[in-house]
This record gives sequence, C-alpha cells and structure tokens, in this order.
Amino acid sequence: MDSTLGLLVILLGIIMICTLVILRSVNPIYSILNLIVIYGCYAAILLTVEMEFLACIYILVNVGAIAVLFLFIVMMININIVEIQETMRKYNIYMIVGIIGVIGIIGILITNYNIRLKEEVIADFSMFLTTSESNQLTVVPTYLDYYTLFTETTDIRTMGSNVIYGSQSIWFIMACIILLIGMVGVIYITEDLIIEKRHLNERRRQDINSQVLREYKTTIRNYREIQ
Amino acid sequence: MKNILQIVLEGGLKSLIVIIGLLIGVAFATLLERKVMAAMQKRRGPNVVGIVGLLQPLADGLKLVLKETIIPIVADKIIYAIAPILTFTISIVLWSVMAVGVQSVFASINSGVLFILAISSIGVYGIILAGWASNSKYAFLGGLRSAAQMVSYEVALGLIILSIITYAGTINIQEIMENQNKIWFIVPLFPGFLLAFISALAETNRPPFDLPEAEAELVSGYNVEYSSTGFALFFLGEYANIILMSVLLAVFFLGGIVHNKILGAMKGVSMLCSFIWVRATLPRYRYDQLMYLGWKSLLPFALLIYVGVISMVLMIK
Amino acid sequence: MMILFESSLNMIKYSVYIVPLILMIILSISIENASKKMNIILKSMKITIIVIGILIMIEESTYVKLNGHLIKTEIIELFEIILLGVTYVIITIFEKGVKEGTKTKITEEGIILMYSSIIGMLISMEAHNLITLFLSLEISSICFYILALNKNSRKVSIEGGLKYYIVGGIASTIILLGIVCIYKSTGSLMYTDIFITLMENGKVDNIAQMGLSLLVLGLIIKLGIAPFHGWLIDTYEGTGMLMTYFLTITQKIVTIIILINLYLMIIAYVTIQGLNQVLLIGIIVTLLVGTIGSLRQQKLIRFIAYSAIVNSALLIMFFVGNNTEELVSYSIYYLVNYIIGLTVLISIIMGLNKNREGNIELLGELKNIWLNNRVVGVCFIVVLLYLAGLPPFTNFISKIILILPYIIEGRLYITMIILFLTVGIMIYYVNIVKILLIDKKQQEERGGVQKLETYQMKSGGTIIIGGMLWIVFSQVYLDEIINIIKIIVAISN
Repeated sequence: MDSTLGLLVILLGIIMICTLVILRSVNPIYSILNLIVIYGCYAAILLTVEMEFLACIYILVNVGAIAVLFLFIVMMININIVEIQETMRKYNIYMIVGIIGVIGIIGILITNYNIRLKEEVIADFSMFLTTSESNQLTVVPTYLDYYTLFTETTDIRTMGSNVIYGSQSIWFIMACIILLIGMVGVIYITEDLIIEKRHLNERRRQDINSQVLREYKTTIRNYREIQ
Repeated sequence: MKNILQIVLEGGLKSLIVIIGLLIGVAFATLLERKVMAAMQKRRGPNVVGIVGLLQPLADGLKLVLKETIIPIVADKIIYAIAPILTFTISIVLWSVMAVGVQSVFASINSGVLFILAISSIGVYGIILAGWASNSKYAFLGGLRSAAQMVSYEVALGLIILSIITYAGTINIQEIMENQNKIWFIVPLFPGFLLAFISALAETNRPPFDLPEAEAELVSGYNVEYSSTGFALFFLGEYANIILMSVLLAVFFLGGIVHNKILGAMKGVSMLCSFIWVRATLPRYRYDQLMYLGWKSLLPFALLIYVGVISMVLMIK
Repeated sequence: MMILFESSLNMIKYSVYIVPLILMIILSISIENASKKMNIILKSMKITIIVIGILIMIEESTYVKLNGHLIKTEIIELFEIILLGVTYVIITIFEKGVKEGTKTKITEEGIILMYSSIIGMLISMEAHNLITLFLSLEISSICFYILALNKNSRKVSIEGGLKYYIVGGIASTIILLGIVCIYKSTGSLMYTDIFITLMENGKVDNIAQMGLSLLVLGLIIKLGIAPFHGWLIDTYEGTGMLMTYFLTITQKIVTIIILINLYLMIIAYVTIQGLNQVLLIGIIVTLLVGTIGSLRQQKLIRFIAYSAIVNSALLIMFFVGNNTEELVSYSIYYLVNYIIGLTVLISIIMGLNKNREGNIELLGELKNIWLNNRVVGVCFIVVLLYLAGLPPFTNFISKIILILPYIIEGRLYITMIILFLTVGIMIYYVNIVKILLIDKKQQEERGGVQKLETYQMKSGGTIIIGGMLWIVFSQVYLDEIINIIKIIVAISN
C-alpha cells in the first residue's frame, strides 16, 4: 500500500465515522460540525490528486458559505432536543442500510483510485507488455486522464480551456440554469409571505420628515385650549 | 525514516520561525496601536514598562496567561475549548502562503490567493462557535452579528480580489508581486483599493464596523465568557488577522515585498497605521446601516469594478 | 474550422432555449401592470413554444451534436413535438384561467419555472451523455418540486411537495450512483462508447449490470411504479388539477423516451440478470395496486393519479419483452392515445365551472355533467370508455398489441395475469359511467335548493372536438398510424 492510498483510506475512515455521528447525534449543531469535517476531508482527497484549485473552491463554497448559513439558521431556531431523541429511535434500522451503502461506495472509490495513478495508466498500454500478456487483456476502461493535463499546466487553465468553456460547456450552462431556478423558486414559494410583510411594513412606516419637523408649539397644547 | 525525520525537522523549524515572528509582530502591533492612538489624541500612551513602554505587550501577555481559566457550567465544554484554538490556528495557517520576498516563503503554492480566501472563510467558525458554546445571550448575539458581518463583507472582498487576479493574470502571490514591477496596482485599480480597504476593516471587525464588540450594547461581544488563555488566543488571532489584511493590501496594491525588505515592511506598517487611524477618528455604524452598506453599495460597486477590469484586460490584450 | 463553425451554430441554436428565459425574467420584473404582465408573458411563452417546435422540425435528424452531448433521431423529434403540443394546450387553459380569474390562475414565476422545466426535458430527451442526462433531469425535477406546491390548498400541498422532493432526491441519487458504476466499469459516459466497450468485452461485468439496473430503477421511481407509488398520489392530490395533468404527462413522456433511448442503444444488447423479472413483478403489482386502490376513492384527482400509475405500468411493458422495435412502437402508440384521452378528460372537467367555487373535486359531483349538458356528457362517457379500453375504441387495440407479443414469446401465465388485471382496470372507469348515468343526484335527496345552472360549460370546446375526431378517425386510419410510428422507430434505430 503506497502512502497516498493509505492517506485516502484514513480520510475515508474519518468520513465514515463523521457520517455515523451526523446520523446519530441529537443536537443538530453537532451534525453540522461533523458535516464541515467531511467537507474538509473531501478537499483533502482532492489535494491528494493534486487539484489545489478544486480543493480551495470546495472549501470556499461549502465550508465558507453554505455550512455557515446552515449553522446560522440552526442556532437561531429553537429546537426541542428531547422530542428528537424519541423520534431518532425509529430510524435505528435504517442505520444498517446506510452503513452498507457507505462501505460499498468506499470500496468502489478504493478500487477505482489505483487507476488514477500515473504509472498504472502507462502500464495499461499494451505496447509495454509482452505478446503473451497482451493477448490476455480484454478491453480496459480508458478513463479521460486529467492527470497529465494537470501536470503540464496549472489545473485552472486545464479546467477552463478543456472542461468548463470547452467540450463540456453545456454542463456549465445547465448548472447555471439550475441556480436560476433556485432563485426563482424561492420567490415563487415565499411570494405570499413577502406580500404580507410588505403590507405590514406599509402600516408601520416611519415618516422621519414629519417627526423631525414636529415642534413644541404646534404639537403640545393646553387641554383647556382644545376644549 | 531518515528522510521523514529531515522533513519533520525542516518543516518544524520553518513553521517555528513563522509563528514566533508572527507572535512578536502581534505583540508590537498592539503597542503600535496604543502609541499611535495616543499620539493622535495628544496623550502619551504606555510609557512605564521598559524604555518608552517597549515591554508593555510582554507584561500584558504575561498577565493574561497567569489569570484563572474559567469555564461556565452551562457551556458546551468541548466546543468552548475548541473555538479560540481554531481562531488562532487559522490565523497562523494563513501566513504559510504569505510571501515575504521573491524566494522567501513557507509554501509557494499555485493558488495562493484562493488558499487565503478559503482558509479565511473558515475563520468565521471560531467566532460563531465561541458565541454559541458560551451559552450566554451577549456572547450569542455578538457571535451572530460578527458572523453575518464577516460573511457579507467577504463577498465584496472576494470580488475585488477576483478583479486583481484577472488583472494580474495569475493566482500565485509571488507572481502578483512581480507583475507590479512597472506600476503598482493602486494606480489603475484605485476604487478597488478603497473598497478592499473598507471590506478589510469590516472583515477584521475593526472600527467603524466593530459592532460585535459594541461595549454599550453587548458588553464585549462573542468573547465575554472567556478569560486568560482563551481570551489571549482570540486576541492574538484577531490581531494576526489585522496584520495579515494590511500585508495583503500592501501585496495586492502597493507592490508587495520584492527587493528591499525594509521598504516592503514599511508598506505593511503604513497600512496598519491607517487601520489605527480609522479607529481613532470614525464613529461606529448602526447595524442595519452596516448591512445596507455591504449588500447595497459595496457589492454592486465591486461587481461594476470587476466588469470594468475584465473589459480593460480584454482591451489591452 | 468546419467543426468550430458547426459547434458555434449549435450554440446559437441552443440560445433559443436560454434567450426567451432571460426575456421572460426581464419582462416579469419590468412591467408594472399585473394583468398586462401575465398576458405578455403567456403570449411570449406560446410564441417561444411555436418557435422551438419549428426549429426542431427544420433541424436535420440523426446526428450527434455538441461534442457528443446530444443526439437527434426521428423518434426523439416525435416525442419533442408531442411534449410541446401538450405544453401549448396547458398554457392555453392557463390563459383562460387568468382571464376569468378562476382557481387555475398562475403567477409569472410559475410560467418561468414551467418554461425552464421544458428546457430541461428537451435536453434530457436528446441527451447522449450520462452526466448531461442527469443534469437535465435535475433541471426539470427541481422545477417540478416547486410547481407541486399549489398555494391555494396549503397544508395538503406542502405535504405532497415535501414527499415529492424527498422521493425525487432519492431517485436522483440512485441515478447518479448508477452513472458512477457504469463509468467505473466502462470508463466512458457516451451511450455509444459504453455500448462498444460492453460489446467488446464479451460478457458484462457485475458493476456495469448494477449501474444499468440502478439507472432504470431511478427512472422507474420517478414514474411511480408499484413499490414506490405512494408518494405520487399524495403529491398529485395537493397539486391541483391542471398541474397534475402537466406533471403526469410530461413526466411520462420524458421518462419513456429516456428509457427507449437507453433500451435501443444499450440495454437491448445486454443481458442483465434479474432485471426483467423484477420489472415484470413491478408491472403486475402496479396493475394490482392501481386497480384495488382506486376503487374506494372519493376525490377525482386521486382517481386520475391511480390511472396515471396504471398507465405508466403498461407503458414500460416494452422493457420486458424480447421483440424490441415492435414493442417500442406499440408503446409509443399507447402513449399518444393515453395523452389524447387524458387531455379531453381534463379539459371537460376544467371547462365545467361552478359559479364561484371553481372546478369539480369529488366524484359524486360528476353527475352534474350529465344533468347539465347531454352532449358533453356523452363525450365524457366516450372518453372514459376509450381510456378504459373497451373494444370499439382504439385504445383497446393499443392495449392488446402491447400484451399479445408475450403470448408469442410463450409467457402464457404472465399474459393471462396482465389481461385479467386490465379487465380490472376497466371496472373503475365504468364505475364513473355508473355514477354519471345511474346514481341519483345527492342534493335532490336532501331537498336542497341548489340549481343545475350553477355548473356551466365555459371553455375547452376545440380540444374536446379535436379529441373526439381523433377517437373516431384513428379507428379508420389505424394501420397507417401504427405503420408511421413503426417507420419512425425503424429509421431512428
């Protein structure tokens, strides 16, 4: 086992433990904190494949923006912990299924990871092998090898010119449409609430001008004078 | 085995140098702040401990460490302990990619600017967790305020840094410094500099945006319940962030530290002095005004600058 | 250079999808007068649908475009035109609702969401790459989650929308897992590359089998086949009649064409252990559940939801058989018949307004159709029998040609069970005819004062007439229609 694979196994182990804690923990804040640890581990996995840019973006978006908002909202909501504790007992059975799934995914990742290493990609080409060996080979999956692209230039340049703005530009456009739908959808769902609040605010509006212009002589009068 | 030992020793020594330098820098930054503010307000400032008060920060630090550590009973103890450590660690980690010259840098990675952005965005957690774990209303409100402020001003700062990256054509900090040989970026990007300065003030919770620490309303903000070492760690982290921001502004806009290291340091110190200058002169913002400024003025203006920079780059090439 | 030119042309063509979206958003922000705004947005939506339809018809077919992300065949073109036609009909019904201010009114954000879901569906029909397929499915399904929240009936619709969201999210995750498995074993995402790799390897390894069956499973959960049908009924109950119509029809069209694409390109040549048996069991259980469950329903919308489940079970029958092209073309013919029947049914129900309350909601109220307008009543009964598949109508033939090939394959028992269950389906269609003709009117028993004039047939005349004409004349030109579909399938394969 080489050192990168060992590191990967350790990171995946941390991820698995944190997933269990997320499912088990009663206090949602602990769940979110463990989620942040998982995001960090994902970024570390990206770093082992030498993708600094993606790792930085991953932390910047997921940890720096999304999880903060989650934490923010969960802290402000008053949550009844005892009630959650009771309902959590129902879901003990599903834990087993979840664990099996996580183990399966880790197995796929570990078996898949070896192919990304550069030496083995070279070893796959049959011209380095003797004839008797190459006859035994069936069609081996040829993954698009981003690794060589990344080592030649910086990873940003590769991603920009080959993936996002190049051959895979339609994915980029579709992701943009999904974001747009998210924004429009929030307006669609909360429209009634917004309108209600606007009406409420109109009634409560402060008229600063009239408040400032108010004078002692005009506003306060003697009780008898009014009568 | 020998190889690993060598790597560990080398890394340890390197990081030790950075940390010790940083700690000394922080100590004297506090002294600098007090002295500059005293000069602006026609006072003397600290002048009792040591010659012209040079040993004052050491005395302060010693006092803080020797005090009793108090952990509230209702506090969430693990998170309560983790929060100051997290803040301090992150403020140190940020310095690992900061170049102090063309060759002298702890780790020269390609996406240095992005690394700084990413790690500084984690810095919010120290504050928000400290506020929550103390289980006190003042600390909680201070933490929420501080986190909201930092998140919203990070957007504007990120956009300005993005426009700098676009203008320089690289995200390596050293290359950005080298690109400023002919002209400093403050000349073509002056509005960007102003915006970045304001956002940096808000990011580090400095006056006039020091709402989390509004003494009149919130006693002391997210760190009310902390004493001795915990408080010291928050304090150190905060000032390390301030120094980092001033050095970052110097690197991005004032040419950075290329040949003459004394001159380079002077740039950073001048930015630090302008931070203190703002503190000494300006009154505090109201909270809604702060949010309006962040989202309705700074963000559109930063977007405008970004579009302008893109069109400028396209015209040049 | 030529390739560059072609790809830039493609990009211009695909800006047809995005430019109207931007225009609609700008319009919805900029116009202040509410009724004017809705009118203009609806008009622009109609024009956009027509323009997209014309472009699809003009485009030369059978080629791979955009770096192999999309493919265009005759069969996909047919489905796209069906989808656009259905959307046009729905938009016209919505327009009437907005004009009259009835319950069917919709906000401009709803129209934008509908349009973006149509973008997603059109791309997912043409998808030739698995990630493109996943992303476009996500576009349409996120729109559906939001559209499923009908704001008029708050509590039920929130429950239904949340259920839809959770189940849809799980289905998407399963599809993604399937894609990962396929990529792991074949190393590619294009359909053709996957097919070539699987064929050259000789036998298909376990992970590829798992990936393909997970892909099919995820799509089937989105259709609502039996073990996963509970969410669908609750969702449709909270959604409202018109949106239910939109969701059922579009969901069916999209999922069926994706399954057909997968089937014709990969799965027909690959033996996947157990998938056929599992799907067959699923189909039989769905027919059983749909028949038994819908017998005791009181609400009209739940009845429509159950019939949607049953029909989607019949629609994926082509997946189980061995006779690929023929079954696919029969399935398409069944889909066309079902869409036309449901359209006429819904437009009769939507056209019949109570004075202020809105549309019919309970099955018992359907009696009023017969009492109010005999001609519409006859149309309604004819459509019901047509959907049920009674012999004089063409839907009978479309059902029987779907089921009969299994006898030729020698699966007699299964054919028997399915035939038996289709008779069971007929029961609850005929049950409504019974309510219409034989049952007494409930208000009369109570001695109520409510008069018949409260119900009025206001709209939907052209659609009903068109549907009736199809029901009559498709009988005359039966062979021609089936042959055209067969030719389309044969060309595109």
